[in-house]
This record gives sequence, C-alpha cells and structure tokens, in this order.
Amino acid sequence: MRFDETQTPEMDEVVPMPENSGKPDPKKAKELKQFTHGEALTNCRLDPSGKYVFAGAEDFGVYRWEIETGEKVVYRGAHDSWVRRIDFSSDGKQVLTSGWDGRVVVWDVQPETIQAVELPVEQTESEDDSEPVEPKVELVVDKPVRIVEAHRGFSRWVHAGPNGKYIATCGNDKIIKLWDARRWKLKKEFVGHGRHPYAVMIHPDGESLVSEDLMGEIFVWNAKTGQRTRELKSVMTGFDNKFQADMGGARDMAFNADGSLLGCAGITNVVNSFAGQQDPIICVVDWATKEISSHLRTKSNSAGVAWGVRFHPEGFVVGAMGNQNGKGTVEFWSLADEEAAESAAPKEEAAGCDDHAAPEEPVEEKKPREIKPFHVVEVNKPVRGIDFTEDGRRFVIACSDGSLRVYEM
Amino acid sequence: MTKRRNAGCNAVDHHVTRRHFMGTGAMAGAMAGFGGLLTPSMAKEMKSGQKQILQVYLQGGVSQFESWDCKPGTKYGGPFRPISTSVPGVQICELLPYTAQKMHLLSVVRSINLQTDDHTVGRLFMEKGRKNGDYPFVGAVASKYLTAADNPLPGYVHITTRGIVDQTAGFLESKHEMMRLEGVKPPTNLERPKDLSKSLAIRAEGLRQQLNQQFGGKRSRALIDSYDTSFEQAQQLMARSDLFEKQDEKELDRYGRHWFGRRCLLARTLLEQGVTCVKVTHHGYDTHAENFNFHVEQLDEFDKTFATLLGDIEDRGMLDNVLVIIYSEFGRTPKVNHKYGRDHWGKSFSIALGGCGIQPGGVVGATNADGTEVSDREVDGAHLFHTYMQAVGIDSQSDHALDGRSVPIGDPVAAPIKELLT
Repeated sequence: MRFDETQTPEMDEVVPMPENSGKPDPKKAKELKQFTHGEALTNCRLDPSGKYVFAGAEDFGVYRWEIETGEKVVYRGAHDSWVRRIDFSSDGKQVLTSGWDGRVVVWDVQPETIQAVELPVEQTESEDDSEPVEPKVELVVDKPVRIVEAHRGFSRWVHAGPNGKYIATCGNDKIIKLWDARRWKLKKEFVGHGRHPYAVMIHPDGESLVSEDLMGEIFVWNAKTGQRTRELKSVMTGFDNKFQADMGGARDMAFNADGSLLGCAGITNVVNSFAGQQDPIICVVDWATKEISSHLRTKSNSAGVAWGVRFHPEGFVVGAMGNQNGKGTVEFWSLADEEAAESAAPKEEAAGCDDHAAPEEPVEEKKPREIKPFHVVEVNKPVRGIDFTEDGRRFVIACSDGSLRVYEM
Repeated sequence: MTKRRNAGCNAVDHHVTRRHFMGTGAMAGAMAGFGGLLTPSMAKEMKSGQKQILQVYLQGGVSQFESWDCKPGTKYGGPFRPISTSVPGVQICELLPYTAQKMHLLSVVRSINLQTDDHTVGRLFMEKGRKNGDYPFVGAVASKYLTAADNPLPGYVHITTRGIVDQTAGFLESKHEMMRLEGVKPPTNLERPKDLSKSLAIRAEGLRQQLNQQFGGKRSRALIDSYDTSFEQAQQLMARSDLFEKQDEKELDRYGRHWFGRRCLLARTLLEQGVTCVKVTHHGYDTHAENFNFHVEQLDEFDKTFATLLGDIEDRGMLDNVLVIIYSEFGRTPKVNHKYGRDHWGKSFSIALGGCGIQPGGVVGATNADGTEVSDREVDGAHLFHTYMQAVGIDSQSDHALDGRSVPIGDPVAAPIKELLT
C-alpha cells in the first residue's frame, strides 16, 4: 500500500488492543473501540487475517478499517447502490461485495495503490471560522479487480465457497448462480424459488448449496446437477394481514466450521412488518437430517430483526439483533442441551451429493426446540451485522448509527 | 351545477357539451342524472364518449424516491437507480420498468405539499380537494355529473380488500356513495335469497314502491328518488352477476394471479361496462420498516399489472375518455430510519396521471436536490382535485346546486394545474 504520507488521514481514537488468555467467554464481552461513519452501516465482515473490518453503508461506498490503527479506507466507484453482503476469497486476498445495483465487485483487501484525496472544504469541520482549515484527507480505492453484472435487479448475496473454486450469488431475478471463482464464468444456474431469494451459501463440502427466499423456503441444491434435493419450510416469513404483503427471508446465513449446522437469521411471527412488529429468530438446520432443529429466540422478545448469525469456535451460536425500539443486542445461545438430547436418537447418514443422487426420503417431522440465550450484550443502537475473528476472541458489529464497534471476550 | 365563475376553462369538446347537460339537469331539478334529458341519439353519443376515471390508490403512501422522483446518489436517495422511460429525458425508479414504457401516456406531478403527515387528513385532502369539511370524493362527484341515468351500474366502485370506510358522497345524494367490492367477489347479498321466490320478490318491490309514494306525499322527492335509484341500481346489478364470474385464465396470466392483478382485471371490465369511477386499492406502502424490500415486492406486483391495464385501456381506444390517476395520501420521509423504513411525508411527494384531458409525457414541478421540499410549482390536494375535474369536463370552478344553496365544486382558493390539461 502506498499513499502520500505527508498528509495524515483522519482516524478515530486508537485504543491498544489488550492481550488475552483463556477461553473466550461471552459474559466477559467488552467493547474495545468504536469507529464511526457518517451514514448508517448495512453489514460488516472481518477479513480472514482479522486485521481489517469491512462494512457497507447507506451510501455507495464500502469501508475498510484497520482494527489496530483505526485507519479508514473507502472503496468506491464500482457500486451504484448500497452494498448488502461482503465476503472474502478463500485465500483472503480479495473482498467481494454485492449490492442493490445487481453487481458483484471484486476488490483487493490490500490494494497496491490507495489514493489520498483531499475532502472538499464543506466536509471539513472547523470550530473556529477564523482559523485556517487544514484539509482532511480521505483514503480511496477506486479501482476494483473486477465488476460482475451478476443479476438483473438486486444482488442480495455473494458467498465464496470453501475450496476457492466457486462463488455463489443470488438476486432479484430469482436465480441462484454458481460462478467459476477465477474467471467469473457462470457455471450453473439454479431456478425454482418462487419469490426473491435472500441468501445462498455453499456447504463446506463444496457439493451442495443452500438458499432461502422471502417466504422462508429453504432449498438445498446439488451443486453438480443443479437439482433441488431438499425443501424446508421455515417459520421465517409471514403475511401482514393489515397491509396485505409478505415479509421474511434470511438476513444472514452461516455454516459452522464442519458444516454440520446451518444458521439462518431473520424474522417470524409477523404482526405488522410495516412497522417492524415481528419477532427476530435464528433457525438452526441440522445438515445431516436437513431438518430445522432449533429456533433461537431473543431474551427480551423485543420486536425486530435478526441481522446476523455466527457459529463460535467454542460451539455456541451468536446472533445480532436490530430492534424496533431503536436498540440492539448481541445474544449467545448454547446448543449443548439439544445435542445431548439428540445424541440418544439415531441420526441418518449424511446424504451424498453426486450426479446420481436421488432426492432424499422425507423424514418424520420433528418440532424444533425453542432455545433462549444464555447471555445478552445490550447495544444502544440496532445491530445490522456481526462477524468474529477466526480465534473467536473478537467480534465486530455494524450499527444503524454508522458506528462499527469492536468487542473482545 | 350552477354559477360558472370561469367561462374560460378548456373543457373537452363535444358536439353537445356535458356541462350544458349537467347545468340544464340541475336547473330542471333532475337528480337522477342527465340521461333522462337526452334524446336517444344524444344519449348514445354521450355514452360512447362517457368520461370515466380510474383511480389506483397505493394505500399507505408510496415512496416518491422509489417511484416517481428518484434522487440517486444523494443523502436520502436510497439504493435504487433511475431508469429511462418512453419519454426522452424523463426518468422514474427502476422498480417500475413496465410503467416506464408507458410514460408517454402519463404525466408526473412532483411538487405536492399537503402540509400533513396524517393518513386520514392526507387521504381526505387527496380525495375531496379540501382539508376539512363534508365534501364529496372525486369518485362521487364524477358519479353525479358523468353517470348516465340509464346506466345500470353504480357510478363509483372501489375494489379493495380492506380499508377505512369513508363517507364518500358528502352532501351529494347517497346514490353517489362509493360501492365497495371486497376484492373481485360480488357485493354481498347480490343474489336473491334462496327462500325468496321471484314472484314474492316482485311483490315486495311493488310494496316498497307503494310505501315510497305514500311516504313521499308532500315531501321533497330528492331523497326518495335517491333511494329509489339505489334500489334500481342494486336490481340492475343483480342482473349483471356475470361481471363477477370466473376471470379469464389468459387474462390473469397477463395481469398476474395475485389479488392486485385480479382487481385490475375487474376494474377493466367495470370500465368497459361503463362504471364512471373505478378505484382500485393496492395495499402495502406504509413502510415504516423495510421500506426498500417492501417497495421491491409491492411495486413489482403493481408495475406489470398497472402497465397491462393502462395498455388495455389504450388499446381499446378508451384512454381519451378515461382519466387515470395513481396516487397516495402522502409520500415517505427523505430520512431512512433505523428499521430501513421511511415514515410519513406530505411535504414533497408525487403522483402520476394520464388519459382523458391530461397532457401526456410531462413532468410538473420539482423538489430540491435531496427531495426534502418542493422547489418549483407547489400544489396540493385542492389543485389536483380541480385538475381531475377539469380533465373530465366538469367545471370545478362552478357550484353544486343543492336544495336552495350552492357549494363550490372545487376549493375556490385553488385552481387546476393548467399546464397538465389538454
């Protein structure tokens, strides 16, 4: 990276990161630092090295903060709209952003060139008008590696598969697309969602994809054949009787490390979604049985949306909530009790996904367990995204007031 | 209708002007409409040129940013982009691609300031052209002045699923009250009760008429005539149950099989059959949360269906006689709240209109760069009401003739948006 070092970029106050020892403990989660942006943030992701956090915002930029120094860089010029989802190539060198403009943009996490651009005077604050104003400088990346017109309409999701070969996207053309990760050549399209698909993930084994749409329909696809091998109807949707419209779908989706569990974050129990009156929920899918095994509920039952879900290396599930009341939470659930209970029951063998795989036999419907969190971190603003470092010690959250907050536990 | 204050307004030309008939009818005290005053040939001519109104009400307040007045890349612009339309230089939101191809049939007003963010106040202002008072809705006024007496159908029909029940006729006769249809189902009790024989029903109707005559006696006929007309309309509508029969599958493919598609297909049928004002409500725009996802869903449903309906009206040669209005009670706030919502905003929003009496392809008024206020040609519900009336040939600057008094049809302090009128 290089930029004109005679000009000092503005950055938020830097607080040294403490050393940590022992197992991460959610009950010791503590906010370490906060970065700010002028517009509401839409999501956030930590790069695999844990050095940088990227966030989308309610402007057309993607922002990168270096966690230790607070240095802020804007990636712009490629999206004509808000960025909804951020992911990283399997080698961690590239960041992928998908947006409401239908595009997926590939950027370097650490680009060779970062320009230092003076901000216009009107964007430079001064408490005393008589004092000469030192121009502020913005660090800018405006040359993406690639721009892909991925979908007609909003590109809601981008996910880089675990083996580095494929990228999955979905958009408002109702199509799931699988791309060759190196050349961005379209490999396969998966068609079947009747309503807009909100998220798609490639399973860690690389053989399956899973997607969820507005109606809470979760489809499992064979990556090779394109066949739909499983359909799950979740509770993550609802029809608003008063205003005559559907709302639902996954606002975040994540697998645990070994791919045995899938988490889908969103809403349920729609009362009046036009006012935000519905319950946040995270549905956990047991990948072996392809059944929804758990419904993770918030402690307070506050109306709102679950905007984020992650599986922590220690085995618990973490969710990020944006509440109707203008506040947020980060909540922690243990699945241990459920696992213990289910260990007594025989499980079906995981179904292989090859060219000749037949649709799985339906299994007896089992009611998901309703689980409350064992710990909650209160946040004074709605949380719109969450991500963890690989060691699980730090997490970052993106908030609707434009703040990006770093926690350690 | 009496006391024309503005003789210079540009009505739609007829061989025999509608205004003449309405004025004559009022002076003659005929409350049942103009049809009875016409010779058969004149009636036929009037019927063939009957002015009608199609109101498409986007209930709850469609966002102007996500429809008719995009502000891409600005502080409050949101995530959507503008697209070009069939009118060079005119852009609307990308959520309306089908409507964009019909913009040569429509014009947009981007400078409405109702000075209210209240659903009820906004809705009544947009319908009555007055912020306060017991005035009739657009549809009721149209029913009174544009509906032929021999028209077997109600003058003002609202196709909806739910909604606030407003008193829509104001001081006009009750026969001009809105008839509300629950979706595409026929009105309740349209069928003769099964245990009531046809002969008994005829005898009951005879008894009703006899009692009416006795009750009428020396009383004013106006009220009784109005009720009589309502009964007659109901009876005539009972004979038209075919309007509510199963909808054509191919047409549903074109319109969409969702509720709005079915409602719009029924609206086309009702217009074809001569209902004077048909209002169709599309619910789901009060987007305090998830404004953008909801607009994706709702306008996706609205766009193709509405463009299909507008195209059909044009293809049938009806557009010269059907005023089309797409409107809400207000717009949405520039500021996006923490729920990704936009709240109520009546200070600077837009509508679209076209067809009968309207110059197509235009844009009237403007908002400032961020869309926070009107910057040019500010208008409100009163201006719009005058414009609708003038477009269909009703002199909004004259008066309703009521028993012994007259009431201005449009708010006297406002005027039509003349640049919109043909």
